[in-house]
Amino acid sequence: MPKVKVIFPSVLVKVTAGDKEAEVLASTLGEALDKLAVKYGDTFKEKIFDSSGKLKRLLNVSLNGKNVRLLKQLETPLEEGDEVFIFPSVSGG
Amino acid sequence: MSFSNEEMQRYSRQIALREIGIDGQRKLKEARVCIAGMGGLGCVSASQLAAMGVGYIRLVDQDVADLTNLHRQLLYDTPSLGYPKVEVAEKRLKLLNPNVKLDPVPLTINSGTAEQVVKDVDMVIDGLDHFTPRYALNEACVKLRVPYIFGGAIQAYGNVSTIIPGKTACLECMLGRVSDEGLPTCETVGVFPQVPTIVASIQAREALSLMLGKDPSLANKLLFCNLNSMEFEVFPVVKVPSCSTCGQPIAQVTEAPRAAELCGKNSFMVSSKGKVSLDMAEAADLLSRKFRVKVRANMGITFDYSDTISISLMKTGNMLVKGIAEKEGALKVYDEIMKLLVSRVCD
Repeated sequence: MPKVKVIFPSVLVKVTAGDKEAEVLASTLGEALDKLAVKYGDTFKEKIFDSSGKLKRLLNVSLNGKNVRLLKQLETPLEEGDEVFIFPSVSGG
Repeated sequence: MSFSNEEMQRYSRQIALREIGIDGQRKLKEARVCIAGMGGLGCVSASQLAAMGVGYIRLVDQDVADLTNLHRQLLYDTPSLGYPKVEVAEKRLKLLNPNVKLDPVPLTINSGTAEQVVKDVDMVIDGLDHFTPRYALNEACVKLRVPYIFGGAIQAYGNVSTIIPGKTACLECMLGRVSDEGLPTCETVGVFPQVPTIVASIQAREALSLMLGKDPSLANKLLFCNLNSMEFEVFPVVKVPSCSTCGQPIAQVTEAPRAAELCGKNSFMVSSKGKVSLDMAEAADLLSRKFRVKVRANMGITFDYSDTISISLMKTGNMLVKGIAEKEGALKVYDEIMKLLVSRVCD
């Protein structure tokens, strides 16, 4: 199973026990985030997923810089050494 | 283009900058910029660019000045409440720098007006407050190949990214298609006035880089700033071929029929009879997710389709299939690979 690195933004560090990044073994993005939800608990899960289990709209996840909304979302396959970035977007102005 | 004594004195502190100088100041005077949205972000970027002597500034906003704007939108004051923002902004900016040509446009930005907003300018600076008009602007900028400096600000958080059509990720590549419905707004969750000031200042600095012909710092990067923790983070963003706004398919095939010719023992050369154009870098990335890619060259990719079948795919769409005995089998493999590339990685 591929090992990938997940990088968290500063606004999530309080729900990742201070971790700025984590390594996880997973075949898909959904599997990686589920494993992190087990590791960090419900507060992490609530920050990432909406009530229907999808990624929250203002939270972005990219695989090596490509937004997974334009890939296969949580089904996006992972490969050894991939970097998953989680970053928030801001709407107002 | 020459400068009066008054202009030389007015801009002396930035002409003294190694990065600008008199040549740079001339480029600023020749530049044409559109500020789309004259709220918290637009007031700051417009003020900075006018003060710096940008030659032409188009100011676009649909709204009138409101009391709730005044804690952060510093071009407006109490007597200007109820007046069109672009009219008030034009008057204030003209007083700030009478050398600048200002073009106030009281218009709603949407998919019907965005091209008109973007037309005939060198770049667009985002001062909007919702995603829907931003996507319209993004599409118009991609279509007319106008750089677009995205910015967002709410609560203590901000975003900035510089989009160069054809070169960088566009707004949709970066964020996907996000609906505005139910999203927090400055009205519902508030905004520290410092956030739009900082975000718009960074946007103006990116605009300056473009005007000077320098590479912007936030191309293919998204800045996220958090003024609660005073952290500034930069995330990589990459153009996505499947993007409905700026994407090009990895493979474009104009005609379905294809032919296979025997090319040595257990080898077939399969070619499309139509025109095929492949983005080799994207194709190699995609194929490497499913197969073992052995060669990634500009003109071709060689990979193992299975333990016994090897494929060399050329930029023209020609495919050498080795290790297969039947023509029909080679055509089936060709169809499978081309289908994978044409459908790309969309949902």
